[in-house]
Amino acid sequence: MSSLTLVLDSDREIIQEYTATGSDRAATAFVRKYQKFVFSTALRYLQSYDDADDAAQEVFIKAFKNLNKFRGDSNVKTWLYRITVNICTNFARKRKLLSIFSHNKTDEEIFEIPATELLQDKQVESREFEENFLKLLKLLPTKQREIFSLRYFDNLSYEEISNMLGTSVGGLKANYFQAVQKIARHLKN
Amino acid sequence: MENYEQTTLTYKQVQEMLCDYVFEKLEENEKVLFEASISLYPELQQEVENTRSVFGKIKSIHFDNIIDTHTRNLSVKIQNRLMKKRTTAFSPWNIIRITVPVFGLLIAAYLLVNKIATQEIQLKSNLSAVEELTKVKPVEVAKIMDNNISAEHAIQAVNTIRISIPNVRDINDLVKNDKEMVKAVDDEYADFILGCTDNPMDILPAFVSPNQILKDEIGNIDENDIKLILEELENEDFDV
Repeated sequence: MSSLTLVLDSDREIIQEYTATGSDRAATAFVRKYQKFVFSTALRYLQSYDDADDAAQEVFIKAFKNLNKFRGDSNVKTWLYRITVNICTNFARKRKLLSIFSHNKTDEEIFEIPATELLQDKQVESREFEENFLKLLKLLPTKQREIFSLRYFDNLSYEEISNMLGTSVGGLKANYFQAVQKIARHLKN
Repeated sequence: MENYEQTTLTYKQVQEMLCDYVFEKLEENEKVLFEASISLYPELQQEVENTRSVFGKIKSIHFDNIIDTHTRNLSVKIQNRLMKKRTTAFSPWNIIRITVPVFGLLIAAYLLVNKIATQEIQLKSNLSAVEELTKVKPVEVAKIMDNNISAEHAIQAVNTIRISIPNVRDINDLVKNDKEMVKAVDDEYADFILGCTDNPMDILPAFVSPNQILKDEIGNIDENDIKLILEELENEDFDV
């Protein structure tokens, strides 16, 4: 465990090291392993890169705070998914509340401009397409959107998705098919 | 994935596997079974073609790269926040920020509880005074008035009332909106006390001002009583 080159791969190793020593290495390994999953989930819920970034940070800080309580009864992804959904729901609520009191431009909008300027043309194009695709996803009912994303983007098994969302595997498959059909229909138009 | 033991799949089963087939997420045996069954359902076959053509465009987008761009510094940001949390947890400013509002709240709570308790005691005292007044008045006073009992008994009865009612202001506070009641209280007690006792000054201050009584009743006081009062006054040493 003392070697810096040792790669922490399994969840158990990472969690054990972090809970025992609070090491930066374990924290980094944990974040890197799950950052895409947490960030993309937050992005689907919040529809904003900056908000998703803030929410993802909150998720990991909360996860580290409670990592010693994680007993492995559920999959780490399932656990993180629940934390992410809770935090994003609170975020969305706060954002809605703030939008009532303020009509000024938020920091999010201010920071969004240079971020776009830095991207290459091709990246901008794919980003635009991705943003449209995200908007399209927003049109789906939450359950269908989540099932589609977790299966299509995160490659999770139906059993894992079933644990996360509390839906039967049969129901998931039917919803997945409907979501794909809807997306295909919209994109075709 | 489920184990499909039959050689062909039902419409529903094909439909359920369709997306995974298009996105190449089926295992080899499932893929063979799917391909063997799809020809039975031309409608679904068309669906496979449609989905494949539309999602081909989505497939070309590198979602991972986009997400990578946004999560590149996430671990550093989190480390910084964790570090900041650790260092600021016991800073003097944090301690002040927590303790000052806590003390403020405690003081406010103490004052509020104290005020409520005082009001409650006052209210109880007033209520019990009213209760005692109504209880004592008809029994004791009526006896004094009707049966012409001795002055000692009258003093005792009035003292009972006086103990029940801390001071005359309490009665006035309670009945300040009812002038008739104040007058009744003053009249009733002052009259019978003056009529029943040899030493009214001992008990009257509990109810009304002695000067007021003296002024009101001077004409009704017996000559002997005035002599007694004057004798008393002669024997007193006054600090002027």
